[in-house]
Amino acid sequence: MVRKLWVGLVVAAVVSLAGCSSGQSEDPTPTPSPAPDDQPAQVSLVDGVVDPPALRLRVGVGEPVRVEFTADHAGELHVHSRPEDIYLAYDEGTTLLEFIVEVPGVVEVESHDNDRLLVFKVEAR
Amino acid sequence: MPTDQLLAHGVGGAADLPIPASLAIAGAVAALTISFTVLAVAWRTPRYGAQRPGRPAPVWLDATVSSPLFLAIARTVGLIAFGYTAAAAMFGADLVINPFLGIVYVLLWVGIVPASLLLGPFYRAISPVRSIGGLLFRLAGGRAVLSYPERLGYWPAAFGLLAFVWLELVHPDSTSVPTVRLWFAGYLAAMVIGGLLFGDKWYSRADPFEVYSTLIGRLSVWGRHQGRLMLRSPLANVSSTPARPGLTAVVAVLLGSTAYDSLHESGWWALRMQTSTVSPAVWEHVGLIGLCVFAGLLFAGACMATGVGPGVRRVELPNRFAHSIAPIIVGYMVAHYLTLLVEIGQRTVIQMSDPFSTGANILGTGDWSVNYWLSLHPTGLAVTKVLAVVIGHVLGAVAAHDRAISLLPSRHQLTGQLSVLFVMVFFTAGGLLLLFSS
Repeated sequence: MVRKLWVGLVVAAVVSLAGCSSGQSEDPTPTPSPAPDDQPAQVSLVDGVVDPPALRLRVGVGEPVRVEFTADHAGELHVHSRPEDIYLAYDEGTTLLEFIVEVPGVVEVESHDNDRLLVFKVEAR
Repeated sequence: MPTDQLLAHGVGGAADLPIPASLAIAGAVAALTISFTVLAVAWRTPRYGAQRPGRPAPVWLDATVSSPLFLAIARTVGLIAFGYTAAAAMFGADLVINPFLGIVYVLLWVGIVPASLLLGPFYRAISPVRSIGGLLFRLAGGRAVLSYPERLGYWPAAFGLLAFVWLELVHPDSTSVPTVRLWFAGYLAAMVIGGLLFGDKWYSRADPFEVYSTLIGRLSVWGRHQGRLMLRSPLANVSSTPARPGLTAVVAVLLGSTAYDSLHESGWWALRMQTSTVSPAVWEHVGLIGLCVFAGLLFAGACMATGVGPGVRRVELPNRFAHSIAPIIVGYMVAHYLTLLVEIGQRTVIQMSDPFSTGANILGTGDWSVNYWLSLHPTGLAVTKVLAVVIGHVLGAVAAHDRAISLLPSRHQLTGQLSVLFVMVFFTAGGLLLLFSS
């Protein structure tokens, strides 16, 4: 009985893997954006409201992330990246922010002046 | 450095990359096909009853781990760890580099899973609250004032677990040392007072960490039969989990909270939070508690959606099937917290050399650096996570199958299993979807 179960499990696993591998090709790796010479992404933080909301920037590891950040106050953004966190000071008005994510992952960028408000995320692969 | 710069939610602001869609689909399809294969071709007579206790462990090993000296050493280790942690919590600074938060959120909460899988009921062996409470109990005369009401079962532990995940995932100051210290002061007080009232039984039913560790420890190879240390199959071992009231609530909180942790890191959730007029705090409470209750009700409903034979009450069924969720929980835990355990765990060990943020290097780990090998290999990491979820699912399906054929009359066995299996596939597919959209 046990052997029968194992045979069944192996067959099921093979079938499901075969069924899947034929369907999808490669990982849907997003094209890194923005590329270094692209326009920087635009994010604003006015009256504690982020626009666009819940933005996710997709970049390659080691590529610069460039964001044109507009705020109604001066302050600091906190990039929760590895190996070290990054702190980015900004002025009232528009500031061009630039940083590099070194370890693959999804990195949150928060404003600590606004009760840890999520400003945007960076997906680096 | 501002004091709130740390560990964003729970711990660790950086999260794993989403798993590729192809892997998520492959995992879900594998879970589905394997489940029905189990249903179709697996054994028809129960294999994991008490009549198969496993084989005895080597005599020297049994003698060693059963000796009072071994227990004393384990308890001492627990007390030293507790004392060290409490010192950092009370006298350390409220800073990102205080190891207290990493110790409780990563080494204790996540580390309890691998430690229990390898060693069995590990927290019970080292439990500092058992040591402290036990001492006070003896000083107070050594007799329980009340007998523990069996109807309560594991319900106190389920509430304790919910309180802990609420602290970690919902509380706005989850990464402030005073807040977490206060929580643990409450935990210690609740354990000691309960222990004074009810005696030892309180810890095995109400201590959230002990109940969690003992449940996961039943997926280890270590069991006991008539006082002897046994080596047994993890599936047979987990099937011997006592079906006490509240066991379903325990597994529902563990499953639901992990799902919530994953959900609230998704882009979908972030968008809801930022575009909603309702306060984020409301969403967070509803999300966490709602997912725990949803997981519990769905599972309980599926277990009860069957005919029962004489001598079995339908309302007992969820708790008698709940052990089969344990492997699924382990799969979820590996998938969601492996990177956290390995990477923030390393950082915690480094920070532990400097408990008071004075620049000390007490343990000699202060100048180590974190190895990001795991994160630097995202494909291998994604495959590991999906495999963990699928393996957990298969073990859960097998455990549920065995319980169904031992519990249900033969004409209800197939239908009785179907609903449980569907819910398990739903949990697994949902878990994979969350990993995909993280």
